[in-house]
Amino acid sequence: MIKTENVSYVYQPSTPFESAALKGASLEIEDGSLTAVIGHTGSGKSTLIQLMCALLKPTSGRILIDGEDITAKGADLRAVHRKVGLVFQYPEHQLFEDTVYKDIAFGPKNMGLDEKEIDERVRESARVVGLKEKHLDRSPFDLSGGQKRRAAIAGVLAMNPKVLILDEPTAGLDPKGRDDILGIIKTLHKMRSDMIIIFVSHSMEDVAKTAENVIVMNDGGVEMHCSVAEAFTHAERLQEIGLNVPQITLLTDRLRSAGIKLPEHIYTVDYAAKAIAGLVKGGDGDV
Amino acid sequence: MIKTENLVFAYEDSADEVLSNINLNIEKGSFTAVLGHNGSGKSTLAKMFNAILLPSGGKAYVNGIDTSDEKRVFDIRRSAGMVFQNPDNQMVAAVVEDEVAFAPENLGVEPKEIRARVDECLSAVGMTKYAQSAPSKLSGGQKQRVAIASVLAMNPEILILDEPTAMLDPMGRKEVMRTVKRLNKEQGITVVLITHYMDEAAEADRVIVIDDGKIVTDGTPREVFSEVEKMKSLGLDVPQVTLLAHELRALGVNIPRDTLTVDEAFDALVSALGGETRD
Amino acid sequence: MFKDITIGQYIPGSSPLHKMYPALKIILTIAYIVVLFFLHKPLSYAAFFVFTAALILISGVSVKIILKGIRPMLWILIFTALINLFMTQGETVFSIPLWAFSINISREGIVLAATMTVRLLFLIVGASLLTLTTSPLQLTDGIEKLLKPLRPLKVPSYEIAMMMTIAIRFIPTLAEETDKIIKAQTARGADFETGNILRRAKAMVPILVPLFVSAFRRADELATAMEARCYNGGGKRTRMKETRMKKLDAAAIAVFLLCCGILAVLEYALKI
Repeated sequence: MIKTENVSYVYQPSTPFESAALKGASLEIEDGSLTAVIGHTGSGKSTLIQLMCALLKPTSGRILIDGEDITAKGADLRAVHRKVGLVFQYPEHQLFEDTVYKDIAFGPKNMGLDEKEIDERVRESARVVGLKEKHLDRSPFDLSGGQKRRAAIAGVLAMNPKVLILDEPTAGLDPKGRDDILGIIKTLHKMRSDMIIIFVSHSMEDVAKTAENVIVMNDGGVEMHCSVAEAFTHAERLQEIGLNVPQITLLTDRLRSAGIKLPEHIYTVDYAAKAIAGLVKGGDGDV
Repeated sequence: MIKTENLVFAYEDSADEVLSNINLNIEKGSFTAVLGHNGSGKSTLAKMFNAILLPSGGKAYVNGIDTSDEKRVFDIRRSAGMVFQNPDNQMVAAVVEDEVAFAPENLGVEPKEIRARVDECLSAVGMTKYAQSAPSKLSGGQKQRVAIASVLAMNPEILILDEPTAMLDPMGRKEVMRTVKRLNKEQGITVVLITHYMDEAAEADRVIVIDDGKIVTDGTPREVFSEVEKMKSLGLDVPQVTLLAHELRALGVNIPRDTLTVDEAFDALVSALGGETRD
Repeated sequence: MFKDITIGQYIPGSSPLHKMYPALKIILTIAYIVVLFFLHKPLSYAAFFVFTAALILISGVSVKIILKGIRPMLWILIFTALINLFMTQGETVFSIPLWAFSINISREGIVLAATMTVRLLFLIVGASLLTLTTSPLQLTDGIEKLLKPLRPLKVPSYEIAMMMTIAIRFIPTLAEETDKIIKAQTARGADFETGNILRRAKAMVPILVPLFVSAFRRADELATAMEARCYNGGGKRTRMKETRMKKLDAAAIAVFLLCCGILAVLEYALKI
């Protein structure tokens, strides 16, 4: 479990450029959950995840992972980095080895694992992200954009982290590439029942399709932390803080306010279609 | 404004055609979106309109000029200004107004005239306030607006945007789209927008879908997006309400298949649900 | 960690020093340093100090910032002073006994150490006054103007200026990128802090390779974007902001020559 206690972070403190990126965030994230973090640029979401990975040290507050304070003096940061895997935005820009295999092996190697274990982990994580054996011997720079991104994700997966955090994993991808990545996240969630998966996104549609829970960040604070279904019942508030609400939410909200009896927590097209079809055929929108 | 005749493109020492047999005619003052997944050839097509790449076969004309006419390459680039995907990698100067001045300086425009153009173009994209700022201090959307202004400073007739919003957040995307639409409507600039976002394409007058180097669909957004199955098979999205209409029709609900906006869907559903559910 | 890099440390302002023609400012800074090495008498240095203090006052830059600029050079200053103090032969003033040896300190050594330290101090102050009052872009413009007469000798002055402009523009971008790559590799368990020099050098590979790859990609895209905006080398380019010599610059030259005159009198004509 990840627990943040009143965590704040100030950039360039006591200079004219001082700015608070995070103002007292308190959160609890359960083992085995799949959580999306959403918020506009500058809402503090990137700072939050970097704090959880111990890449930044909070100005005040504590962060506990499985009860262990990672912000304490003398905390073993390398151990934290092994436990919390972070996939940065555009992670393919960090590939550097001459083969995909070696690049995926970089993390496990730094952990000091033996050859056999490394080999197993590399092949396993390549398989999870949908890379084929033939890709492993290629240069990462010869892969397509989507494949590069998946190779980079495999590099973090191979460290077998307890917590996996992905910062905007679908940025810059086309619809097919985006669906591939979101698919990988869902598969991982099913495969590893105790892994905490957190991904940052700009798109409420991606959140609706993929996540169970959502953390909505606004102005350096936690605006909501709830199930995805519940978050969509606050569509107006989401729009107020500059988030894009999917068309389907806008439509069902309007239909409801026009007196049409639809359930409140519709946020996927499939569900909406079934509910509306049910109504038209004379049922009551519940499906 | 832009015309291609049997346009073919392949990189040297490669047999694969990136673009094959493209015939296009883009009208003056129109807003055309070119939609396609990564690697479909859409960005290559954009580079044809600016003489950054030259056809391996067939012809491309911009403003009536053959793009393979080497002597007129600057005439082509001046009249068809191009904005690229990565805002950080297309800025030359360390100050916003110097960035906008870059193109007219290259064209040898008089200093006074450059000053006037810079002020006008920055105001056209709503960035006057940031004239003295460093580009690195701007948000992604602001950077792209500066990139648009720095192309406008050549007084182009055509604006070609190669995935200008792919690296932006939703707010930045909105800023850029609003700016582009305004330039098209108010100043009559012909816009060619390369994108893989269907919601941006839905705002154009015309959508051309490219797949594997060929034009597979060409029509109004309404016509193009109503072909839900086809778009899905091309790895592209359609607006959520269009998808909803598609699924509802499959479930036997009578709703127009070319529903495109929330308003249209709302009206259609209210009439389909009729009096029985209305209080 | 790389965000603290500030090249030139320009302090915006509207003092006469800020408004001077950049090329002239560069020439006068060089002249200032040259003059410095002609001075020997304490009286001349006193006068030079007064002139420099006046310059700082005119520039409106706070003394604190200038002192801050000296701090990183402190070790060089101390080192220079000690070398001159101990290594200069001459009339021994006193000697420090040290086991079997003794270190002799000569009168000449003391004088030389003092002179060199003072010269270096003035040099640093003069150079930082230039960068503090001239924006990187103006500096580039100044260098371009200075190199222009060398164009017939095939010195590509426009291109050099363009390269400098782009370099200045990309410093923050690349600094941010470096920071991000370091963080990303740290998250993958990379270790940059332990081990011997060879190991540490090897540990830099995961940072340098992505950084180079990205720099080349950026350069490639930038070149295309420049071409798309009709960039075609220097030849016919015009400038939006044409810098010209003004009355202020003529006055600056006059003041500078006057100061040189005073210094010459103090140094050579006056027999004190």
